[in-house]
Formats: sequence, C-alpha cells, structure tokens
Amino acid sequence: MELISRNRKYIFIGLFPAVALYIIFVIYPIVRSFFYGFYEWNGLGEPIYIGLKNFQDILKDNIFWLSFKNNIFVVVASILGQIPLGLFLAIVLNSKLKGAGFFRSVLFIPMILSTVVVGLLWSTLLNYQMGVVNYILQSLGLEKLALDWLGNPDIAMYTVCAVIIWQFFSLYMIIFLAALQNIPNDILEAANIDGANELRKFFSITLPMLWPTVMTAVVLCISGSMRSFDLVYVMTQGGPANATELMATYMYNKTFSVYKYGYGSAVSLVIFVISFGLILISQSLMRKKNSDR
Amino acid sequence: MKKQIICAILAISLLFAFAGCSGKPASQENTPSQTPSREETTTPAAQAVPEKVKFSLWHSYVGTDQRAPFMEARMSQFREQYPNYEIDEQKIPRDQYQTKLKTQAAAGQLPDAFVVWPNAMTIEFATSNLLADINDLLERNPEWRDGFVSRALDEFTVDGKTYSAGLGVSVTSIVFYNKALFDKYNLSYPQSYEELKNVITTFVKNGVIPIAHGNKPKWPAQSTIFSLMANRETGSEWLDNVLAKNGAQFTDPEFIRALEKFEEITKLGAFNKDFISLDNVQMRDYFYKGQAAMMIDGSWAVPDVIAKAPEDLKANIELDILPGFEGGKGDPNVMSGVSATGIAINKKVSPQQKAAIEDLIVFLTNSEAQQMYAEYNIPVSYKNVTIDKSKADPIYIKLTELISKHPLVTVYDSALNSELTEIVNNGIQGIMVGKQTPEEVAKQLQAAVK
Amino acid sequence: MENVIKANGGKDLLSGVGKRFRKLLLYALLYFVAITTVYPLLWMVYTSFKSNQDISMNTLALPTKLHFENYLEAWKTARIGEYFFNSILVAVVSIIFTILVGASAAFILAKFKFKMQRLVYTSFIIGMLIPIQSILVPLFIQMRNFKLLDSRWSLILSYTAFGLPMAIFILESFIRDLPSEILESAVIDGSSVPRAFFKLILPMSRPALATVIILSFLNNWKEFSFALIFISDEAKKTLPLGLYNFLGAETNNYAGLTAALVISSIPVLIMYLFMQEQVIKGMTAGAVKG
Repeated sequence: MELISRNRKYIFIGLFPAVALYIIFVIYPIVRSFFYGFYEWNGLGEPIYIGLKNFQDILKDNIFWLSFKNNIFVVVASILGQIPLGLFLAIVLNSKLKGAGFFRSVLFIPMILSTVVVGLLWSTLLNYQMGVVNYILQSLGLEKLALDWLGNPDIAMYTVCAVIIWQFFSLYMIIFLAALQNIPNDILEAANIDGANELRKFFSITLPMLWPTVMTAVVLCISGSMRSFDLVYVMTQGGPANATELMATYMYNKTFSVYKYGYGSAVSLVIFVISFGLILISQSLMRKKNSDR
Repeated sequence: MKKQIICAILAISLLFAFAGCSGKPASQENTPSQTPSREETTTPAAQAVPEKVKFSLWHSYVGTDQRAPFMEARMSQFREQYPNYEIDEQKIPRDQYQTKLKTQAAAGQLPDAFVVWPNAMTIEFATSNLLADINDLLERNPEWRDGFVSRALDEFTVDGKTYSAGLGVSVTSIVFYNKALFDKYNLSYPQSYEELKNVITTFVKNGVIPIAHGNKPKWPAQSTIFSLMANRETGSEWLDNVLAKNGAQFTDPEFIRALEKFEEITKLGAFNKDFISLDNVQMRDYFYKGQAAMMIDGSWAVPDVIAKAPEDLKANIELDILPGFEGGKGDPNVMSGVSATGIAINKKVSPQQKAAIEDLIVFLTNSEAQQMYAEYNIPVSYKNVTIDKSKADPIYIKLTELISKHPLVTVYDSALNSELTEIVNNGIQGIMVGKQTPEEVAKQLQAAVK
Repeated sequence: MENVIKANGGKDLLSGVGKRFRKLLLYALLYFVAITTVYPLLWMVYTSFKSNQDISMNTLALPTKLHFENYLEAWKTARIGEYFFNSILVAVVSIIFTILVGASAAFILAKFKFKMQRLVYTSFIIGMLIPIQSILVPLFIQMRNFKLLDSRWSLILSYTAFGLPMAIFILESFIRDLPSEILESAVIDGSSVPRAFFKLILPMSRPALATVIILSFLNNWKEFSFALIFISDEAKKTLPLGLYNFLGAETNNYAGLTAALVISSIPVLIMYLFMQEQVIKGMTAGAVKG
C-alpha cells in the first residue's frame, strides 16, 4: 500500500474514464429524472411545479405501501435465499467433485433464459388447474399442498420470490466461484491436517476470507431486488389485486400507463432513497461483523 | 426531425421553381393541395413534377397484430401510388409502442404520423396541443367521411375537432360459444340473466368451464364483460351523466347492482379457476380444447380463433352477445365496442407533410381498404361493405352479422380517463378474488371523478 | 448431515458412513436443482418445434411432428439476420470497454489509498438503485444532445456505463485480496504502475475478469429498454427488439418466439461455457500465490 506517494497521478488516470463515463451517462440522467418528481406532468404537455405534493400523495397511497412491503419481502427473501444457496453451490462445485463442471454449466441456465420464457414457463408449471407441480403433488397424495400458487393473493408473493431466487442464485454462485480462487489451497490443507472438519474450515477460514465478496453480493442483491420488475411483470403484472405489486411495477404503471410522469419520477426517487438506506444499513452491519478488515 | 423538414422544404421549393419554369398550369394546380379527393384508386394525375415529401410514420401493426398483413400489403400499394412520398416507417410491437412513443413525446420529439388510440389517448395528446386536426380533410371528402360508422370518427374527436379515423372497429364483448356443448346438456343460449346463471350452474355441475377467462392484465374483465353488464343495468346515458357530474354517481344502485351481478357469477364458478394467472390469449386454449363452453373476448380474437381452433370445433362455434338483464335500464340489443386505432398527425409538420399524411389516412380507411379489412378478418369501420361470402371465413361472416344487428355502446376504458380506468380495472380484479366489495369499488370510483 | 459430526473437532469415528451419506444427499440436491434449471431450456427447445396449435392444445407435451419451418419463419420475423450482427458488435465492444475502464478503476480503488475513496466507491452504487424505466427520458434527451441517437455508440456507451458498478465491485474485491507484496516489489524493481497493472494484476485477476465478462455479455445481450428507445434504424437494431414481434395483445406466437430464443441463446451458452472454464482455470494458471 505504499505505492501512494510517487504514483498519485495514476489514481486520476485510472479512475477518470470510469468516473467520467459514469457521471455523464448515469448520474446526470438520474438526477434529472428526480427533478420531474417535483412537477405534475403527463409526459406530453408542460410540467407544472407542485413541490412535494407527489411525495405526499405517494405516502397516502395504500397500494404504494403494499408494494413497499412486498419489495422488502423480496429483498429479505433474496438475501437469505440467493446468497447462501449461491455460496454453498460455489464451494461444493469448486472442489474436485465428479461432475462439478457439468453442474456449473447447468445451474447457470436460469440466468441465460429470457424473462419471458422463465415467466411463461413457470406460470404454466405452477398453474392451479393444469400445472405440473400440482399434478405431481396430487399424485403423491399431497392434494392439500396443491395450492393456487400464483392466483391466491395470500401466497402469490411467496411464489414469485421463489422464482426470483431460482433465477438469480447462479449469479452469486459464479461470483463466489471466482472469489474462491483467491483462497490459497495450502491454508485449507493445513487445516485438514489439524483435524478441522468441513464446517469449521468454512466458518474459520473460508467465510472470513470471502466476507468482502459477501458484502459486495449483498449490495448487488439489494439493488437488484429493489429494482425487480421483469419477472413479476410477466408472471402476474403485479396482481392478483396488487398482491405482488412491487415498487418498480407501481412506478412503471404510473409513468407509462396512467400519464402521471411526475408522480412516477417521484416514486423512483423514493425507491432510490430506500435502497440507498438499506445498503448503508447492511454495509455498516456487515462491517461490524468483520473486525479485522 | 428538424433537418428533414428543412430538407423537404428546400427540395419542394426547388421543385416549385422547376414547375414554374416548365409552364404547365395543370401541375401548379396539383402540387399545393396534394390530396386526391376521390376514394377509388385510379392512377393519380401525376402530371408534372410531383414534389417529394418525406415523413415518418410509427405504427404498431406488426408481428402478431391483427392488422400486420393488411398494413404491409396496403403500404406497398400506397408507395406504388404515391412514389413521390418517402416514408420512414417504424413498426413497433404494440406493448413497446406506448413506451417508445411516450418517451419521445416526453422529450418533445414525436414522429410526423403515428398511431393513436381513440378516446383517452387522443384526448391527452390533443389537449396537450400535439396533434393537427383533420376537419378540413373531412370537409373536402364528404363521400369518404360519410362512409364511416360514427364511432370511427367520434372517438377521435375532441371539442369539435377530429384527429383521426379508425382502421376498423373492435367489438369488445363477443360471446363465442360451443353449440355442441350446449346441446349436450340440453341448454339453449341464455336470453336473460336468470338463464345465464342457470347455464353456468349446469356447466359447473358437469365439470365444464362455463366461461373461459383470463384477467391477469386486469383489462379483459372490464372491457369484455363488465362494460356491457354495467350498460345492461344502467343504460348508456347514465355513464355520461356520472362523468359530467350531472346528477348520477358511481355509488348509484344501478351500478352497484352491476358489480354485484359480476361478483355473483364469479362466485358461481363461471370462470376457470386459474383465470387470474392467464391473459386473454392463453385462456382461449380452454375453449379450443373443448373444455369451456363459452369464451368472451373481442373481435380481435377472431383471426386467432380462425387460425387455432380445431376444425371440428369451428363447425360448432356460434357468436352472440350477453343477454338482456331483467329490470335493467339498458337496451338489451347493444354490445360494447370501440373504434380501432388510427393515424394522427403531429401538429408540427409542414403543410406538405400534412397533406401527404392525410392521403395516407384516407388510403388506409377508404372503401377499397375496407374491402381489404374483410379479407384479413378485420371488422370494418364503414357502414356498408359488401363481403364476398364465398371467400370469407364463416366465423368472420358471423361477426359481421353480429355487428350489423347490434349497435355499439362505449367501453369503460374508452369513456373513462386513465386514472378512473385503473381504478375500475383494479377494482374488478379485486372483486373477482374476493379482496374488495362492490360498494368499496363504487366509492373509490366516485371519489376520483373530477 | 451435521449429526454425524462429533462436536469436539477430533476425527469423527463415523467419518466413513457419514461421508457417504452426505455425498449422496449432496448429489440428490444437486440433481434436483439441476432438473429445475435444465427443464426450462429443454422445454424451450422442444416447444420451438411445435406448431402454435399444438402449443395451445398442450403447453408441455413433446412435439409429435417436428416443425422445422418455425426456425425459418422466426429468422425472418425477428429479423435475426440483420439484428444478430448488431447485438454481437455492441456486446463485444461494450465488454472490452467495461473491462478496461472498470478494471483500472477497480485497481485504483483496491490498491491505492486516497481521500475520496469511499465517496467514489459509494457513488458507483447510486446507478444501480433506480429502475431503468425512470431514466429513459433523460437519457434519451442526453443521447439526442450528443447526436448519438440511432447509432450503436448510444448502446455501447450506456451499456458500458451501466455495467461499471457490477464490474468494479466484483473486480475491486478480488484485486484487494491479491497480495500487495508482488505489486510493490514489481514497482520497486522499476516497473511502472500501468505496466504492473497490465502484466501482473490483470492476469492474476482472470477468474474475476471471466466472471465480469460473462455477466456483462449476458446483460448486454438481453438488454431491451435502451435498444428500444435509442434505435429506430432497422439496420442498427439488436436481437431483443425482434423478439417482441412474437408477442402481442391479440395473440401470441410462442412457436416463433421459442425458435428465435433458441437461436439467440446459442452465443450466450457458448460464451458461458468458455468463460466458465477460465474462472476455474485461473486457479492453476499461477493466479494464486504459492
């Protein structure tokens, strides 16, 4: 870390392209989009300044709060579902297990498939009347479990979360696979000689070394979940009766279907603030856990 | 966009100069107005130098859209007839069309000619001053204008100014029923609400889905079923009075009765159990497989039915409308419908471009075009189109008979603005899954009337 | 599984039996998950050989007759011939930029200490926090002002910019774990920082680079919203735009859609299979310190 003094100029050179590109094409448009949130605008005529009214309306809208609740649920389910599953599979498939290569390839398929295919197929498989899942459950004598997975407003959200986890766990799997390459084999072998079993090796060596990656994964997970849109849109369109409405679908609806562009932008700003808050919280929580960083 | 307009004007001015030099009086007469005020497609008087006019056209008649093959054929005919028009044609599938158009609108960059939906969308665009009206075009072409059913023009008219003409009409509430299934259980097509309930319960008892339905996108229930049910209870003027705040309200008993009846048939099991997870295309599969006795969908479904229904089923498919409701104030003979989309003109185009686009609007909706609609199974927007019964598909013929027998009344998502539409769509879906009561929905609607 | 492990860390007596049982359970789990991931791909492939009528009758059944013409029709309707090239070009160029720009930024953030470090790192998070649809209009206006509309550059630049956060995060955490001693000794020995970056850091980061390449390629290949908004010129459109020709409000052409999707999935599959090897190979290619 003593490269600093003589080589300060490289800091600038190395960072400049990224930062410049990012500010021009990402930060600036985002900030501009926030401005619309303070206006009443149908996207066609002239925007009218209305201060905080959009935000007041958002806080009063039941459907917004419903979508907020659903989104938090997705975030929690994703963090608890995708990351551990991805981590577990990465560790398992990093070893010389027979067929590891095959599994690594096959398990990545959900990421490759288009959302339209995923949404359509899962809707079909989970169909209450004709779906394969219920068919199997019924033939196993488990009719009580053959529920209306996507049509029952009370369980639809859980079903959607499960499909979301299914689609994204392999993203974390490959991120952790890469990070695992950085763990020297000799440390693990030394631990073996000392008699440590798998669990201890994991908790004492692997996990601490992977912790920064886990923190990165959590950031990606939160931001991805807060923006969830495609899969829900294809499978349920936010229904039934807003049971699976997410903030992004709510925003899209207001912006493009109902000619309330200003209101939609206000929703985006709210999504941003909430996501940012969640990330800050998670980062500080995780940093505390990792004292030697 | 600006660059193209300037180039077009420069080019036209040069041609004017040429025309002037050549000294042919006929050409000078023709070039300014550019609109052939005739419907027949005799070769145009392309005497002197036809001016080159460029304009951009955005439409959604592509891919699986009902009008895609028609549009492709008709556009190449248009290009043949008007070689001096250079059209930058953007074909965008319907779902993406709204996103792309509204993004460009928000950035102040609309194309010269683009498809608009009647009613709500036209009103929004017109009141934001983005469209040029075609009143003078209608004045100049009385034959063309008078051929239309009034709906095809009225639904594009705001404050006396008309902005487009519909490429056909859409009936939203057609009951396709499987006569063989009705016969099997000794049922005849219901003529009253009580009979409808009886038919539903009989089918449910025998394990047949009474009505195939898919309401995942939220609009089908409102557009294909509820709009007409509400009209049966309330009559047509009632809704106008509600929106004009003229003594009627959504909380009136007639409307609540309509919602209650809808709730009632849902609870009787009228629909397939997974209706909430299917869209209005997937639900048709139940009907095609012979598992559902009826399906209620719009005229846009006709090409799909013709293409996908098995032959033995097709022989048994009959078309009808919802029965009259006893005690209801509505005319039992009407059915809900709306004009199809039409091409509108950007207010900022040059006069030459406006003339060219007006040619296009006429070309796509004149009597020759209407004949072509029939060939492609699109319901026509002209009052009198003779259909060649020997060539047309029997189901399309049944459709046209249905249209000629039953006048159209408005659909809710056409009459209401987008905010009210969202409330009624959500409300109906809420009622269907038992999360909302009719009174609640009525109250929400009334609260949002401005 | 855990109940066969003795609590006090010594060698467990039942290690033999326990191990086999655990292995069996593991394989069962892996196969179960694998079935759920493979089936959709298989479904997509065999559905592409059915006719729309067949699909209506039974969505899940195997085809009785193979309709190869679906592929010809899909090729035409989705305009795959024209759009394929654009997709490849845009994806590849974007990845190259993303790697160069992202890796250098990640390197600086990982190995250098400076005042605004936290701020820079955090600001890259910002771009990931709002739904894409919110910025369509401002970004469209931006591209218009730069006269980039209808040019592949609008896609390349936006894909690179929006792909930076993920690239930087993954690379940064990886590079941070690389031993600083190697880097320092190289610099002391006279190598310039850029040289050390290209000759040492990048090769050692191969697993992370491969991961970033896979994910960037995937995102760029499937990206739809920007392509829809920025590109109107038929000659420049990308594959995802063609796919929506099969879906409409009035009817769906699942036969054509699945055929088109099969075709467009092939490059991604190839890219993944190739890169995935790189991730693991990185281990043996001298990436890890000895």
